[in-house]
Amino acid sequence: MKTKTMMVALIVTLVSMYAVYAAEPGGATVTSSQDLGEFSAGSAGTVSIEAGNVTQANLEANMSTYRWSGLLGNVSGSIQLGDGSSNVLFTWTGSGRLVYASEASPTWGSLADASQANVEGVYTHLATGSDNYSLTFTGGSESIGSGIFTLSSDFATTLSSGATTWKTYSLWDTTNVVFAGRVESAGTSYSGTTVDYQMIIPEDGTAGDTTATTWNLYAELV
Amino acid sequence: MMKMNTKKQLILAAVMAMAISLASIAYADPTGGVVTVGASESGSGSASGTVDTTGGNVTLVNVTGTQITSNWAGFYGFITGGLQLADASSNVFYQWTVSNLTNSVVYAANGTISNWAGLQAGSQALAPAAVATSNTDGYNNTFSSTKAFQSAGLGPIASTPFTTTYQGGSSGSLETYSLADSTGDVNVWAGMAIQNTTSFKTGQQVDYQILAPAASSATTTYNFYLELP
Repeated sequence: MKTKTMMVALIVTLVSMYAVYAAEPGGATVTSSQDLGEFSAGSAGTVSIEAGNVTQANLEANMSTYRWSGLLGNVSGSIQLGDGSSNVLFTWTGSGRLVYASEASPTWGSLADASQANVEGVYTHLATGSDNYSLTFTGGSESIGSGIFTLSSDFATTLSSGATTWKTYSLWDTTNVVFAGRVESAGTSYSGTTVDYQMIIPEDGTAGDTTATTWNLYAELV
Repeated sequence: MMKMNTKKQLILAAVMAMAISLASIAYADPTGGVVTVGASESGSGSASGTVDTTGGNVTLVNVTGTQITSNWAGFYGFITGGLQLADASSNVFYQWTVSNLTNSVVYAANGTISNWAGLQAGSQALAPAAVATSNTDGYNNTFSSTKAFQSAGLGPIASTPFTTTYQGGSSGSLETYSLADSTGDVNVWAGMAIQNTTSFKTGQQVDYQILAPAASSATTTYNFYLELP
């Protein structure tokens, strides 16, 4: 009788282990945000001329992109086991693995690598220009390093004033583009600050478009 | 009995996001250009011809001449530059090298442009008085064609007067567009670049050439802006 009791208990445990939801990143609460501004356009150079003259004037300038924006910051959170009423059975302190940014709620179960056509189909302004998609996401396909998704993707590398390599991957859920920033805990940002993630995302400023874009942020913890 | 609706919640994470720019405040404005000024030259008018006459004779003398304009000047040169994503302190987040400068635009303005999105097509009515004439080198005889002006970040601005300057001794492909700011007070002469193309000077290449009004009795100062593709 004892043996039979033990077998029943084991079955119950197994059933309950399968009554779970598929793993997916969780919505990230933004605890603070700060707009660090944009690169200021240089002042105009001047040339004075007289009629009848032809003057050689060579020009040099660095110009701000109007096709991309940057996002960086810290990640903190916990992994929990709880019920539908948010009662917590157990909690673990987590650190970030990836930060996901998407304009719409992703269909996580369909997440795959985004092709250039996927991205340019949604963000048409990234199809042209010296800062277009293909000239930005120049890193070859590699594992995104997720513990949830087995995916490889090409990537863009943003700058660090230290030795941190900041990678942004482009993903696709059959409808939406999802950008994923690889977390490098306590890394050095482009400006020398200490952050956990830094990623590049599209922003359409062509034709004088000043409409702000709202991004949904999700985090995958490890 | 254990509830069958036990969930395994994966994550709720707090993300402290310091955004460089979540708002689309970086829209397509040309940037000020650092100008390296080279030689300034002018051509020579044709020398006078001579004819000998004797009393009582009537002489047919056809004449032709080349006169230097007293209303226009030209700019030409090379362009260099890059695109970057950076913050207000000029810390650079990402950089792109511009490998093909064709379709860059050089803007020469006789004032400061504060509202690039408000640029309008130029016209004789908006042009400086010295060229707003019916003279041979007047505005309408110079900017005698129109088409939509379109750059990487601005336009299209319909029916914009434009002209082409010479390359290799004949009319070429380097276009100068006549624009004005939204108030009409500032004239903007926009040169569409073609990388390393034949210039008006024998044996020399350029990226851009611009034709712009200028006074003959005093200097005219232009502000230069550059828009990369």
